[in-house]
Amino acid sequence: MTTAASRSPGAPGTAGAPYDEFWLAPDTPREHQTLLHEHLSQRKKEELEQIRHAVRRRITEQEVTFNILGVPEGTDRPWQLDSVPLVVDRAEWAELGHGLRQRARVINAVLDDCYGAQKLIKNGVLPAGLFYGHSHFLRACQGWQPIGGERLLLHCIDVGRGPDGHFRVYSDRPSGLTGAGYALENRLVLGRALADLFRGYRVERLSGFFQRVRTIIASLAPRQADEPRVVLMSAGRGDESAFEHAYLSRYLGYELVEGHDLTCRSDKVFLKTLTGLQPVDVILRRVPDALCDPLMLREDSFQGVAGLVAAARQGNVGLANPLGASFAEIPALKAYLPQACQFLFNQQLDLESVPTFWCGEEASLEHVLADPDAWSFKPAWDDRRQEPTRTALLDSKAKQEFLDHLRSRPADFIAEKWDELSVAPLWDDGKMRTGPMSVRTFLCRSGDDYEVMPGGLARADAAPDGIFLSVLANPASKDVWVPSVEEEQRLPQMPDKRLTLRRGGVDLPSRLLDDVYWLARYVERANMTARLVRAGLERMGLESDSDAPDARAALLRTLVKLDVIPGLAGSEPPPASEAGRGSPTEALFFAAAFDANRPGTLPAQLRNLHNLTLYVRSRLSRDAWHVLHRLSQWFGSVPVSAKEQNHVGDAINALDEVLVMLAAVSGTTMDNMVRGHVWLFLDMGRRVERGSLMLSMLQQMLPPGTTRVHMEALLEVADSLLTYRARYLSSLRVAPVVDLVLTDESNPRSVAFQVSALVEHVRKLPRPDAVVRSRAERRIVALHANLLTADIEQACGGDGSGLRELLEDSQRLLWQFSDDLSHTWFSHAHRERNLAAPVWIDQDLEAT
Amino acid sequence: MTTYRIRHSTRYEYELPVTQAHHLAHLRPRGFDSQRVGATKIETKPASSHSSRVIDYFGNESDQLEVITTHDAFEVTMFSEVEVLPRPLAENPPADPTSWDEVITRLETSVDLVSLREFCFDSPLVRAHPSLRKYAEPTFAPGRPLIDAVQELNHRIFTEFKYEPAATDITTPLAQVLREKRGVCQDFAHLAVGCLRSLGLAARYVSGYLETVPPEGQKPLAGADASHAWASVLLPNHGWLDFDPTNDLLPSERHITVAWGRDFSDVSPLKGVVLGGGKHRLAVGVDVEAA
Repeated sequence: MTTAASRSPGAPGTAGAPYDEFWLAPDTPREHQTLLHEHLSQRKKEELEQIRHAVRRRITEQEVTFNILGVPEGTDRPWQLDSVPLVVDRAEWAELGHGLRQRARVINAVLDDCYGAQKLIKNGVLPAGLFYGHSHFLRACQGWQPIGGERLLLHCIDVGRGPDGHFRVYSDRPSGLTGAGYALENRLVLGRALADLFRGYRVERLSGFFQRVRTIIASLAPRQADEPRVVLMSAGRGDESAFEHAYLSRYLGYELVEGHDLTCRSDKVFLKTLTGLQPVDVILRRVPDALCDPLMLREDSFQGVAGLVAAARQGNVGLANPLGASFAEIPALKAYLPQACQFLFNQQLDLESVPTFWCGEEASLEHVLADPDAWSFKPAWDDRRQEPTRTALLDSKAKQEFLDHLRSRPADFIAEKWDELSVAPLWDDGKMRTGPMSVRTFLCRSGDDYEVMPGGLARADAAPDGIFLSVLANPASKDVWVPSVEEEQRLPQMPDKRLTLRRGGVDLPSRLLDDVYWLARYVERANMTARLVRAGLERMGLESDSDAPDARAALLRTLVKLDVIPGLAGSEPPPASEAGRGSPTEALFFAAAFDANRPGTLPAQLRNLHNLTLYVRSRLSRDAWHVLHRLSQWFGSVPVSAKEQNHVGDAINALDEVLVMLAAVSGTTMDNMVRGHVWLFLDMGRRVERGSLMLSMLQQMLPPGTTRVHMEALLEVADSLLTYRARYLSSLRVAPVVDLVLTDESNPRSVAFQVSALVEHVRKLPRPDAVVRSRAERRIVALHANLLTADIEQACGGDGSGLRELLEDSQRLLWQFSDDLSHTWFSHAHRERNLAAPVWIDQDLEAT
Repeated sequence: MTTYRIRHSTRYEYELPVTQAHHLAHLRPRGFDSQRVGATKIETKPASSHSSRVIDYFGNESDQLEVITTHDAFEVTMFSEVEVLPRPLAENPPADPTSWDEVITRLETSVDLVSLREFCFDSPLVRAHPSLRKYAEPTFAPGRPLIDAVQELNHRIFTEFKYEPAATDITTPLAQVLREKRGVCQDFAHLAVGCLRSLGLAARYVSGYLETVPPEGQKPLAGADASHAWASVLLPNHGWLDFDPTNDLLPSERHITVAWGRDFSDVSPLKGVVLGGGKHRLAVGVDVEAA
């Protein structure tokens, strides 16, 4: 045996030694670990490594990420999943589940009392300070019942197992199943990577739990509709679990929205869509309670919807969890749950918390101060942004400072005593070792009780308190397997519901359309950038002809015009005549393609593109997603010789490669998509960007002073050289070139082709305010007519001023068209803002 | 008894059009044992598309106003008729010897007072601070009757702080007010509330109006012709005692109460969330007329 068996565990049950999840005695695994033990001991190291790599690959491909708290956006890290599952004993799990369910019932009742009769404080069960001394008791939610009557529908409880083998609770998180999406993805990955073992254990499926979640959420709908509209309200792309919001919304089939996608009218909530405001019935909420309504709750919130509290209070929208549930998250509440359970249910709380004292009570403060080193001190109200303080680990000065602070504001602290956590095997970089475990469990309201998800999100190798809390660490997660007794697993059932046939017409959030529009524009811009740079680099070598510098200069001017590279002093790039190795011209082309630290460059464009994909992912096919994912990996795959050593040949190869990928994006994303509104906005983005880029390039390349090399470069970048040669052989003249790339509607790269497609598209959009032609439509029709009626021979004659005018007018109309689109169809996706409360005594009205 | 007619207007002027607005108003005077509220109405320009009246957590009446017509300016006007009765506690302060430290003990131990302890804790704009306690301490000698000590605190804030309208706004921290010894009525009300809470007493913030025209032979009070604010302290044997540190007096017939809460943020006369608007200008006008 090469693996876990080589380590002898401490004798289980001995005081102080951690409980061993795997070994019962040296060389004897616990009964429920037998199959896992076989799996680990019968495989060679290489096989286990293969499994680890398969898991890793899938996580990378799916871009399962996790944003580290407090680090700026864009620094999301890959999710970590251990390739060894945490198998739990079925009977022990059932007993834990019993305790978890009771705990959720108690918390629900505490919330009900807190926002209702407040018997708990009136009878001294909870100290008054626990209610009033912090901001998690939402006064605006007091005295009224949310739809459905329950105040806790979804809950997470973090547990760990102490040396005595008992589970204890580290924290309660009534946050809308934070982590359940990761647990689901862990299951999909590991269930596939360890298919045989998974079948052998007949692992309990998670889908039934999520079906229950859907049911309870649907039950909150205030309207009697066949299909209530449910949205998942996310705190946005910067949230630490933004990945999970998108993932869960896809899995549960709910629209993913942010606060500014919603609006309240007459105490009802609506989604802003292309076709107008559409009523929202239920919100699965991943925005912290206090940030949900900038009018009634925290004024500084940018994540909420003004009027949400009123809508909920009027019973016009269901929320899961209802507003105010965050009261159950205050760490200090743990210390009083046993009393609350006794008072409310006349029962003992079966599943204990770790020993917890709230320092706001004098007796508790004195108790923990008698031996502060034995305790971990945490903020009493919100522990999600702070590591606990262990006085035992501080030097005497720091310790004294902390204790002084504690004595000056004792109510702000709790003291907890942590057990040594149980240990389980981990496969870590080619070898087996053991690490401490904690498990996040998930619960959902069901009838008058709760249902526990048969599984969970285990966190290995770190402090016990919840997987989302650590500022610094991103420890491995583990999938939790609960073996079942059933012989054959039933497949999860689809809801028995007749669906009405539909074509298109699904109401899409305006923001989504804004996102896909820009996604397509970035694809096209990246395409053009790569072509311009490639054309420039191809003209760098000694073999190119003597007019090459002129063409290079024009290409560089175009790149500057497109803001890919900054214009140097005087906004003109340096003369392109000096084009040897290491010349300024060469450096500029390389910067445009490979400088990841500058805005506007190709890598920066691809980064923007990638950021958008996360939020439109639910609208993309699996193939399209894969192609987009590969595109995002392109920069990493460019050889150093091209990126850093400016090797022209390698750089051209890398650009060829990115162009192939971009073509694949266009192919899979745009061509395989139902011709609905999403496709329309994608294609409009592509057309607007392509048309605009062509116009910019024409302006830089054409008269005065146009030579053969300019026209060649233009046709090459416009991918129209072959067509031209087929028509006109090799005689390059201005008017035919301009006709081909500007006004020839049969050339898919020409401006006229783009404009003609836009005319078609804009007619298919819903018309705001029932006007005959929208402003955007009028504008693009005008541009179309200009191009079709232009006399190109004449425009290209003389000093070229006629052509310049035509190009400038066209560019202006196209940009205005894009603005019209945005004002007409995206504008209500803009954010609301808070007015400052009136400053006390300002001016008298009469005096102004 | 005095009857007042009140008109309170607030006008926002926006740089850019506002396409949608939600406002929350705490403008309607509150009825209680020394104040009876007659006909009251709220008018807006443009008219609201939807409005609802809600009794808030502290028992104040609030209005939620929604406007969906595009507008460049928004004006809210409240008209009300209010009868204010003389307050016995203010007219004849009781000679109650109960000391402030005794009151704290009762607050901490009496089951009946537990929900009033709400007003002993920090609130969004008023956080207990050692400097507040230090400021209050010379007045709150151990064993001193609470009612005496509060009146002295009221007097000290009045004499030691300068009333200076432009010096502060609602975002000015209490510590700065204490350091610079100047501010306006809401600063002094917050300061008084903060001092009392730092000691462990229950104190709340009251918003309202002052009579505009002084009776024959009396000087006009500071804060007249505008919204006003003062503080209130819980006397367990008598109820809440209002005191006005801006004017060094105990409010009676010349103070009209609109709302109370933990601090300004609970009872802000008007706040709003708008779509569009750009920068905005704000003007407030108040008329209080004794009938």
